[in-house]
Amino acid sequence: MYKYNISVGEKIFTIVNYIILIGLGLVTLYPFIHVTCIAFSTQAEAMRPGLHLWPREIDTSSFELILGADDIWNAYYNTIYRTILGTFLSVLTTGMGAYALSKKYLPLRNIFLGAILFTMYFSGGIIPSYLLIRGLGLLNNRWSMILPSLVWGYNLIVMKNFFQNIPESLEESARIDGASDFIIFIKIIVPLSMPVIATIALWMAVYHWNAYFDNLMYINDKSKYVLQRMIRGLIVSANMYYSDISALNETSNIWPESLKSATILVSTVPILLVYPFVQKYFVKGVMIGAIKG
Amino acid sequence: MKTLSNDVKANNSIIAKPKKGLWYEIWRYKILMLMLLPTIIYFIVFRYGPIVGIVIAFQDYTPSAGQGFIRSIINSPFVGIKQFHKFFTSMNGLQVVINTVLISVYKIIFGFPAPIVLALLLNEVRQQHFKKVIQTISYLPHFISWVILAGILRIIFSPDTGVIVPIYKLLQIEPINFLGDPKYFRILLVVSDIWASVGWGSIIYLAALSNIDIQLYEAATIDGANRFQQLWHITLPSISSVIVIMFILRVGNILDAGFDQVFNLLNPAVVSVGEIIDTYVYSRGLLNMDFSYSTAVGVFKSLIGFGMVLGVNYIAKKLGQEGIW
Repeated sequence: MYKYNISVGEKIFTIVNYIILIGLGLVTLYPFIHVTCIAFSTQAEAMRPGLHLWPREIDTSSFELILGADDIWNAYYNTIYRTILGTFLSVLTTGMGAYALSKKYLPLRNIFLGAILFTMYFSGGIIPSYLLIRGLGLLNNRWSMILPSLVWGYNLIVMKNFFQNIPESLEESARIDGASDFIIFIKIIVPLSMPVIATIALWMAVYHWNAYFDNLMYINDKSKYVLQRMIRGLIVSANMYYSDISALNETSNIWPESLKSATILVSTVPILLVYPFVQKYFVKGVMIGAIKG
Repeated sequence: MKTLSNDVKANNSIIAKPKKGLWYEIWRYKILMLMLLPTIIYFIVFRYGPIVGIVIAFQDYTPSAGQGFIRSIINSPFVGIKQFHKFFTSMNGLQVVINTVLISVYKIIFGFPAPIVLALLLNEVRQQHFKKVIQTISYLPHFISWVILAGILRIIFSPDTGVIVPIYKLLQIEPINFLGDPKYFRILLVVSDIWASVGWGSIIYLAALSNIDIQLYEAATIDGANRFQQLWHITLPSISSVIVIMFILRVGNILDAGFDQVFNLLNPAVVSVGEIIDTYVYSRGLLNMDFSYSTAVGVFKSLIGFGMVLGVNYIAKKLGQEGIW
């Protein structure tokens, strides 16, 4: 829209618009600032109600406690393990399957697509899933965090559509030379598909990093807890059940909310650091999915 | 060569030729089929397996130790719709459904327009840099799990040390405990949900807005239309189909009141207003081990949801909009 004369009403609108948007930005950011301050505050300062924009009295003992707790580092390890392995296997499986489904001459293609589409709208629910994992003997097993979320219908469709848009001619010359479908996939398709691979990989990575519910359902062994689940026990449950940390806290006087805040920070900082650089892939991914889906 | 033979096949349709059969095709494309195999196995085991498990909603399922998934199902007695009847006649059942619907409806009324409004506001911003910064900030909560977000909310809205407490003291009223007071818990749910999702939700509307032809606006300006007239006559109609589709999807999910959020914010004090169908299924099923009963509740929810999507889609089509099918 371009205008020759900007009326007073328009100017006011623009100013109000900017105020609202800046307000939104501040309201979104403030909770993170608040928590950061509490994490670094002494007990007296942390207990003060009201706004916390910077820690007036600094005390890093909450951090020392959290960073010294083995439970946390173990949970970190579990999360990183499942994120890397889960993302890699997901992208590999989904990619191969999507490539196969992108070929119109694939036998039984429509049946497969229909069956997959159906599962996007209808699922068995958490109880049958739990019983299935139990029946497969995967309870308390790290694979129970990776296998159930291996392939998502939505990701398959996004990748399939992307592959379908790659011109056949690029594959033709390789076929003439006698290359098999798999070789073509690895050597030609994959290098061309880096944008969609990056998008799917990021989606899966964020999913795995934040996942806690499957861990909650399938795993009882504390040594296999993931980060978010450990945090849930500390932050969300009414009791601080995890012996390491609560035992440590009995001997020092850290205000529980400072401890919780430090825990929040320790688990969120990786995402916050990585986020600004990768968010554009996610946005693009949503658009690809929305337009083609 | 594969494509060449496909062409030959098409051209030969009028000539009778021996049908080679499915197995021949599968063998011919065996590499592709092998590439698809892990995906197929996954879907059969991890997606259709649980769907088969839905059968226990019609049984008195008891997990026989060491007997595996299918065996236990076969061995449990069939009881028809007894579990469903139990749900429909229980006090808890009714309360849970009411909570779910109310929370969902509030979220739709207040939360559905919010991303649209945000997208419209962002669309009016000339400064690309400012726009990008605000967008990036607004997407942030979408990447943080509700475990963390709930933890943050508990700290900020604590009735003793929270952010708003000085205001209450100033007004000399009792601080409102959003987290623990049944009268205010749903407000916290709705507002925090909007806060966390408005940014991400606006992406799809912004994409639609960016597709509107600039010339429409130019013509309108020349005809003397002001900003609001342009909004009403050009912008909104152009994105109306996107809005309708998003609305159909949202209303179809009306029984999804936001499990992740509610699960992490729920506490015993507010269970009467905050327990939704999904958290009820979790607590009855995995904590109380009422497997059949909770599966029945889940099935009920899935069926209603499916029916809702079909119903709203139908209505939308009747009103002249494009539906999802």
